[in-house]
Amino acid sequence: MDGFEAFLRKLKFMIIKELRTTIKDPRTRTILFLPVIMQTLLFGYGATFNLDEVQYACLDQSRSAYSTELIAKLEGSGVFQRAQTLNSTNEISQAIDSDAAMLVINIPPDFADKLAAGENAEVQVITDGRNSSTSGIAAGYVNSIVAEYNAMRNGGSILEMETISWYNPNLITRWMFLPALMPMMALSQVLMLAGLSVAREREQGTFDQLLVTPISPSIILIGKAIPPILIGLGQATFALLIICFWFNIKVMGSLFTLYLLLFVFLLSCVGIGLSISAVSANMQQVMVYCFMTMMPMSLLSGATTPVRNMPELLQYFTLVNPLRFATEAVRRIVLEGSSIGTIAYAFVPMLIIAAITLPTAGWFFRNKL
Amino acid sequence: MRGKEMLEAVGYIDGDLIKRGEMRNLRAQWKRWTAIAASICLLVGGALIYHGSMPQYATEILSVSDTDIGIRMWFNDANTSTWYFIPGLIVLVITISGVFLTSMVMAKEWERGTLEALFVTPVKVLEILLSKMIPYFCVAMVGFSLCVAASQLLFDVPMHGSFIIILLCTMLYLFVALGVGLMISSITKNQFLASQMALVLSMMPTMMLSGFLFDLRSVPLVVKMVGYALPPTYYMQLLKTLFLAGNNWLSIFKNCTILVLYAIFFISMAFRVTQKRVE
Repeated sequence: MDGFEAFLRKLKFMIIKELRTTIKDPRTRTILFLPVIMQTLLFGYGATFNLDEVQYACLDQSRSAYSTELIAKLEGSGVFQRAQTLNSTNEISQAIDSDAAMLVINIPPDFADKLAAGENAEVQVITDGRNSSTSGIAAGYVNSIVAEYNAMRNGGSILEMETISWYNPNLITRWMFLPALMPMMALSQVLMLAGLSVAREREQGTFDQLLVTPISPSIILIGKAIPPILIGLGQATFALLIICFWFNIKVMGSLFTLYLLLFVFLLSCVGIGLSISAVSANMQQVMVYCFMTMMPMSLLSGATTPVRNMPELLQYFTLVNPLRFATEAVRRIVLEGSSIGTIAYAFVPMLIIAAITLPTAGWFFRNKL
Repeated sequence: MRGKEMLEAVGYIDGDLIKRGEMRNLRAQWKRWTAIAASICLLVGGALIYHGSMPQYATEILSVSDTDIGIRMWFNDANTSTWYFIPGLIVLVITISGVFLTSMVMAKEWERGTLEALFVTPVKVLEILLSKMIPYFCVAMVGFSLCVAASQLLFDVPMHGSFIIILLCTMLYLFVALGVGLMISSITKNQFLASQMALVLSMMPTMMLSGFLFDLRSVPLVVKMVGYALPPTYYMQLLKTLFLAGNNWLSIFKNCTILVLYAIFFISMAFRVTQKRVE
């Protein structure tokens, strides 16, 4: 027991020393916590696929009661704001090119005649494809409004599709995005913290000093792994507080499950960070490697773009991405209220990655100086 | 819902259902519109990224009556999401390589003490800064060429604008990014802090607030202001227009002027904070 007690004591001192080195500089304290708050707020408001306002231009060549009715329905929805009224088809290109309008509606001259004759009349919708997601959504809105218009003219439809989205009934993008932002932010900070701490010690020469102390390499490893995890959990707590109390997103699942998942996720991130620092010669290299790891991890995580839409090959790549599993699991805990059993599958890859990277980093510490 | 299933459902309709259908008109219009809009959004959102395509199913079922819509998405007719993403990715790569790489150089020299050694030589501040900028400029241009080659060969993104203009705009934006990196580096004088600041000031804002994923038109005013205060936003607009639309001189002129002003600002700031004085 004495050996184990001594182990724990040495570990405790190592962790305290690491935390002190990181937090003693007030600028570091600020940079570790202020951006978390700012980013959560900014991205919470900025991340929206919902369109509240569409600037559109209207070219009504029909000038009939039918076309006026259709345009009134469009503007009456509250989403479409008329930016320009065009008089000829030549003016369409300047409206879109100059970014004055996102969408141009071109009603042909024979619109009313065709409708009155009982034929199908076509309305042309031109969208700005430079931002294809919002253009697609805006076109979808026009689609639905025209469908309403059709239904109104034809006296109601027989078959209706009423869709209810579980867990996010109003399809608010923020609800989907903010729980995914938590692990992503924690990842970027923890990866850099873990990687840079070892590289900094190596550059300053204090790592060699550590190795001649009676501390065993495993204590060094665990002592370097735990502080970034603690700081990462602190940052995630900050983000969670903002999400719950500022954005009013209720966490349906248990906090214990959430923190357990975040702990395992950060463990795997720290493992990756320490392995990166083990193979780098200086801090600049660590940074570049971290960036090289962070970018694919963030983009392929399913935070902003669904994993199932990705090409097959990339979907297999995401199986080694701990952020992908963390994002999915955090979303399920926050929005769906999953218990540990439901998200247990997410722990497996993260634990495997931690189990591979941490001993590798430990081996490097001992042998590669 | 496929056409076959709809026909099957139609077979289950009797007089009762029709009567109930007529009575449904009395319900508030907005509920139906919201439901249909939400279902359309669900369809569009699900098929959005990577092989995104217009919801053909919804169009076919809902326009069983008179007014059809012919939708033309200018500059990106097939709604290929890669066309929309790749210019954004180029902005991201240039920003990050420009800012990340340079943000640690000055700080590393401060920490090592080699910068003080430089101060006793007759080299001027201009020469120090230029010597830091030029290598990373070349590195970032190599990265840019790789990105453009990939976009042409792998992803078939059209390049309707002239390549020379894209190149010149990239060089201009690279000056901005390098200026930001050097400024961060000289102010913090500490590699650890510089790297954290670079991360916070370059990667996350470029990914979220510059129009890469989320359109700046639909965000609240405060976020919109922050987004328009960032240089990557303008470079993003430039690249998207140049790649997908062609040489739109008004847009090029406007965005380039703003980028020139930013470049002057950041590089002069980098000059001001790099002084031949031992702190």
